[in-house]
Amino acid sequence: MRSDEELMNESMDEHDDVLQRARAALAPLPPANPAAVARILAAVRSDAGADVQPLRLHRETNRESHRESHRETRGEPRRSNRSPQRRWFAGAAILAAAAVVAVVLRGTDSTAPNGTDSLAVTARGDAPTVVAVDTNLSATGDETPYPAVLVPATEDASMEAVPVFFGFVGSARTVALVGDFNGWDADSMPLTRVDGTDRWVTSARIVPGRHVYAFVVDGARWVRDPSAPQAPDDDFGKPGSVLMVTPQ
Amino acid sequence: MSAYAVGYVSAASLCVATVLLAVALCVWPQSAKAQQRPPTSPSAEPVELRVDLNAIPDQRARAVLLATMRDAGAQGVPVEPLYGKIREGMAKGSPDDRIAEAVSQLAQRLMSAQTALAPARASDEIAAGAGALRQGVPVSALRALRAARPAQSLTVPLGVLTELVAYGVPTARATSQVRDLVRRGATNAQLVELSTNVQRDVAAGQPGARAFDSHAKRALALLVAPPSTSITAQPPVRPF
Repeated sequence: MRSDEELMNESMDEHDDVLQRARAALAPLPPANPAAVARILAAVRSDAGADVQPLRLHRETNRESHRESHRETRGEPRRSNRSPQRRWFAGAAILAAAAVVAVVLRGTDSTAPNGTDSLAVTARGDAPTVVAVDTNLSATGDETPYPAVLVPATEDASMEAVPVFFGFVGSARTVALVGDFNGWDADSMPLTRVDGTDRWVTSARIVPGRHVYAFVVDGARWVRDPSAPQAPDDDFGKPGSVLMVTPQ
Repeated sequence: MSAYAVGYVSAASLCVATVLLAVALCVWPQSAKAQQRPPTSPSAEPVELRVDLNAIPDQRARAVLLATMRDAGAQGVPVEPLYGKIREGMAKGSPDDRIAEAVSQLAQRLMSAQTALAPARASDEIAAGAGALRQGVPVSALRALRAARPAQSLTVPLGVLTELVAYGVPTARATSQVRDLVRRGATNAQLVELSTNVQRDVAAGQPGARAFDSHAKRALALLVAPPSTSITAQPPVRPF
């Protein structure tokens, strides 16, 4: 028997659903009907009579047409041909102005060695940031893999590999990361011991999706991550852990 | 240059031309630089997945593995997951015949997944389909997901579906809801978030089906209904 509050929440969710759908449906209005637009324009023209001039959409500006109409009023000939030399001067002025604006816009990017490009490379660097390590775990001597931590990446394609941090706490001579992402090869992703501690760390770039992994300790012992869901699809009796890599 | 010469060309056209040229000068070197960048690979750490089958002492098991790999290759099934399964068995110290059996079963699932997910050719996607089949998801569910997302990878939706079923969500319900989410354009990140939320609630003691219903409903509410059933089936018209 559900409480009134639960029923009310459910009802509100349904309303929200409807509101979301309505909002999404009404947001993109269709393009205007060309026939209707033509009808309106024809009506405006017929109301205004023959004195209405079409809008000037070519390069002649209003100011210049106004100047020309004054000349025609005074009986002067229309200046239809501009001096080629003056047009070259104008072109050169445009180019010079564009160059100045471009230099200003690009700023330090093209001149300073530590400009925007360098910063961007640092931001999307392959080495993940170690601040993601859970430092609350103490080195007790027990083998304790600590959770795989997704490190933010700047790649925005949904199937680009994402840097993932792995940690393990325990006394061992060697610790290796194995999983479907490295073909269960115990030699390809060894963990590195943090000096003076029993902490072992490594990172790997893994494509988004579901992955199964485990740690191989001292080349033989299979240790799964207890903080992650256990993989149910084990064929060999030594289950691993499941990692869902989130696309960035 | 005289002021008259500049004034002869209208100020508006001068401004527009200046801005366009400036933008072109700014963009051109960067686009050229971008074209020189090497294409990003899906994984920055390519793994050599080949396995020396001579490391399998049991001749019968080795023969089964060789035949399995040969058949898979002949049918265009990606062999990387098969090599991975061999390595997994060897790393876990499993008996050779058990490895051969597991690889043979995986090859069959890969073939089924490849057929259901056609025209998918990506190893990750087909392996994800095989993983879902291993978890009890029917082949028809793979076909339904492919129909719902024909042009994009199903690697993440299949992984999410696999996990949901593992959390105790009934297969039919999980398949239906994930397919609906995909049809409504749910992103891979949204799907993974759904899986993560359900997993968290299950870890806290909530039944998987109940946790899933709650989170799936919220996820669906954020997405537009598919065209066939939504109110956008009749496009809005202007009132003239």
